[in-house]
Amino acid sequence: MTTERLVEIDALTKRFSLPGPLLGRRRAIVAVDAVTLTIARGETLGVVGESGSGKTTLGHCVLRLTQPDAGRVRFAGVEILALRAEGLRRMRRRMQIVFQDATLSLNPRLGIGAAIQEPLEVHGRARGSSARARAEELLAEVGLDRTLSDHYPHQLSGGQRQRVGIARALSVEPEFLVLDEPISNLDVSVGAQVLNLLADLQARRGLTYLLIAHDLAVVRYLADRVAVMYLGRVAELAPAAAIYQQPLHPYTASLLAAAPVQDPRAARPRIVLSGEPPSAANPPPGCPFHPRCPHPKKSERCRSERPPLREVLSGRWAACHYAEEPIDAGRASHR
Amino acid sequence: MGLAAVGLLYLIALLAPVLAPYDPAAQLDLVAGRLLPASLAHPLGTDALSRDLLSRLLFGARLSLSIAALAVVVAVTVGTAVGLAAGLAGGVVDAALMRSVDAALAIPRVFLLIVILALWEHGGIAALVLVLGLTGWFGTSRLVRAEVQSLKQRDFVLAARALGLPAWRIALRHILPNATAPIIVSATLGVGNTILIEAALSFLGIGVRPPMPSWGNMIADGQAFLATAPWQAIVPGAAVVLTVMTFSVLGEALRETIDPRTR
Repeated sequence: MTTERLVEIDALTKRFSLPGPLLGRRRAIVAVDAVTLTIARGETLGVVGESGSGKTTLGHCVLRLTQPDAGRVRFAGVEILALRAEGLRRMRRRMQIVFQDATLSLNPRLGIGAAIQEPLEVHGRARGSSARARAEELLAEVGLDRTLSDHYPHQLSGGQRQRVGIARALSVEPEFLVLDEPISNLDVSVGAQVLNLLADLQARRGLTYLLIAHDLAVVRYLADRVAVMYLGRVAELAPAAAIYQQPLHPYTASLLAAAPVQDPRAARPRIVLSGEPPSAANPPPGCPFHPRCPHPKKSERCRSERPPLREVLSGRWAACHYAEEPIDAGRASHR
Repeated sequence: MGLAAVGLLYLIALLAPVLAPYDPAAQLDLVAGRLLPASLAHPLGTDALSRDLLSRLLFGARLSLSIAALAVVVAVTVGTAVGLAAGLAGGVVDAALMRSVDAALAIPRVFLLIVILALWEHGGIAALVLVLGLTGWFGTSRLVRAEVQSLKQRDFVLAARALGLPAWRIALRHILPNATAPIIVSATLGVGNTILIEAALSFLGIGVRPPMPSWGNMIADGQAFLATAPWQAIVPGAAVVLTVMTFSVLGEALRETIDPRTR
């Protein structure tokens, strides 16, 4: 892995306003709250979190499919948020997205081949019969039969559709892919095949991935580093191996403890969080995690002072006042 | 079934010159041939000017159905364009367009039509089509706008944006084709409704004007003889009712077939 920083996300913030009471002030949800992350060329950064933690919004903001309210995104040194329409359109060739549900992300009225040819033609990479041939090559590259190009999305299985979504994203020869829960709508075995495909493509094409998932196992398979998000903020950021070994943030520890393991008799701690994640419209003061935190040292400080994301050990960042004394969860759960 | 019925209606209208036993304007026998009841020579009788009622009915169908179809083409074209623009642009453009539509909808359509047609007296059939079309697109534009607003949030539109496709291409190739179902349904229902309004205007004497036969002015002609020769008004009236019902049935059937939400 080189050390070139391909994607630099700096203090990125996105708020959504909610309709307030009739005469009251509109409330705002902070979906992504001053998130700073970098992704090196060729690296896979996994982003995990519960529903509503802001991980999908983060992915959309990085590609500027959603306009962030504050912060910066640099891609290969180019300020994405400062680009005008034409420059952004040209930049889009270099960064693509694979959506969670290919049933929704493919136009139902467009044939598979046409869906892949369209970006080729729009970006002037190929026209007419050469575009058709290139589309069939892409189908073959993602492990689909070339004859499928005459089919419509509803005639394909879920796994095939997701492969088409990947082929379409690859059509413009991007360097960077946002993978937004790419296998969460697929059967386990089909999902595993798609993960293998993504790993192959990365190796072959030298791709850089931002892998969004709620499933730690998926992230573990592909990611080099993992960012755990909670209520729009990064709770922990560390190399994948380390985070599974010994999480430093109690939220990560509880996620790991909740993940199923293959041996039902394996002794492992139970960390059961109480309650739902608090509403992002009304986050608790202090540490956003404190109402559910199982850490034995939880104190008054957690209720009043928000812990910053800090480098606790080399390359390992956590937003917890007591990150130096983590709950012993990771090791136990993978005994 | 609805489709077959509408097809049959248009076939009859198209073949009116072949099917009609007489010239619809010919006054056959002003002395002995007025207000004749149905007979073998005149299957639906004759009117007060001794014209063959069946022939007039058939030619009336031709006129009424063409006027309605053309007016709806105008209405759907304008409505779709406005709805697409409002739905895609959002913000000020959307607000301006939609408030104008609201204002236009607040004025009763028939009242608007009467005023315009009374002022534009010599416009003929073309004016009637244009005015019916230009006052009939408001509902369609709202429908298309709502559809576009929901479609533009969909992942496949987001994917098209991520791929850097130009906005016009996303609108015409990704959004519009997915919004056709409600447009077709509303157009079908619109034809029936337009036939009804055209009949009303012709009845009032400002739509299709004599001697051209339209179902509306045939009813108007017949109303003087309701007591003595009731079929004069009942026959064209029944034709209007049946035709409008046919389009309603077809519209509902289309709604059920092509709208995936009711499937």
